[in-house]
Amino acid sequence: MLVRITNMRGVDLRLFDFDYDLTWAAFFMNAQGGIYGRYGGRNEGEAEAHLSLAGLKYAMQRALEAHRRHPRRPAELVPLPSHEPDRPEQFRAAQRLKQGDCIHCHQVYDFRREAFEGDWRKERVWVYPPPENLGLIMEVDQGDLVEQVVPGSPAAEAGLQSQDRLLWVKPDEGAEPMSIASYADLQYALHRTPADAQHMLLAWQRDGRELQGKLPLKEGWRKSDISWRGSMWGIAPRASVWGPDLSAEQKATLGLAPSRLAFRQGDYVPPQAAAAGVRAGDIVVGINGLELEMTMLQFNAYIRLNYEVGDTVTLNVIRDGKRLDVPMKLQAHD
Amino acid sequence: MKRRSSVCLIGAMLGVAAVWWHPGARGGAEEAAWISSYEEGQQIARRTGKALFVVFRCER
Repeated sequence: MLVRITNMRGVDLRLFDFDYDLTWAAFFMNAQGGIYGRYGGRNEGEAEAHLSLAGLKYAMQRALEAHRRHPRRPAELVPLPSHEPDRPEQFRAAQRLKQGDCIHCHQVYDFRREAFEGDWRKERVWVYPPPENLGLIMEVDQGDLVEQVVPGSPAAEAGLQSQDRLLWVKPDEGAEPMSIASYADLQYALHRTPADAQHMLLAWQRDGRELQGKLPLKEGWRKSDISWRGSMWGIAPRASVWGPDLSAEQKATLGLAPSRLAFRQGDYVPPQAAAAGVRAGDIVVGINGLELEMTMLQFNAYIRLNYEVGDTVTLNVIRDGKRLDVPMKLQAHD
Repeated sequence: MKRRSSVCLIGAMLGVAAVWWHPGARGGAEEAAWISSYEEGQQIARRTGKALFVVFRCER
């Protein structure tokens, strides 16, 4: 059966637990709700970097094999915090939408953030850690095959090598093993691993033998670049400045290195920035005198992760070839 | 690392998924067609014993 869902209304979030910032995600499952596998997933790189027809086919074949072996695998519902409803339309934030309006996937994160009612902490942005954080580079066309292990990484410490085939991951010792057939399977297993876990258990196949190891998890292992996430834009405080990044050539004419932050404020200047004195066409090159190496999107994520509502910052801009400092009080809304 | 980056990739994937998921679609046209209701898919899957391929596609 082929089911395509484009509206999150009515979707059981305990069953369909996935990275809601993705533009698409796939589940292989049975009529009981038992999930055999997933496909999709991404990191801060290109949206489709981990997708391929061959990779999808491989994950599908593995799922169909599992279905033949366990056609009545039961559903495993993910427990939700007591303040969270299990349907998106039941969140209070969703009540502001017009009846029948489409609920987009990424809005689930926005709804959940609002449901915390002030108790939301920024650590909650670290969802779906990419395997690359642990030194694991996976083959695109066969999502359980290790393409490369970064020397000195946690994956290397666990004993993994290139061309090993991952079999399963246990988020903690008491957990059921989560079988791996795709990048999405692996990313979900990492997501389910507690942030404060000291290690995770893995099994892999090498030369026909099954091996197991403990992969150490170090401080900050879940952190990644969130600038690609649609849900990032709802996090306070707002930077209130955005626009196209300058090209390397344009930066060079201003004496800036190719990797330096430099973007041109668009024609619309949000009220917060306009009140501070930002004008359309200003080139934003830093904050508080910091020489940042990032893109405009990363700058917007940086502000959200490193400052609080009410903080006063100094935007460093270039206007008509001259450098200016623009003090601005950060707000929850633009 | 092999890359298959293309704006058409997801569309192509969904296009061929039906063939791979139900080769021959012996259970009839309803197996090979995309439907938009998970509950309806569940009912048909129960009746046919087939597995479900469920895709969430955000069309914002």
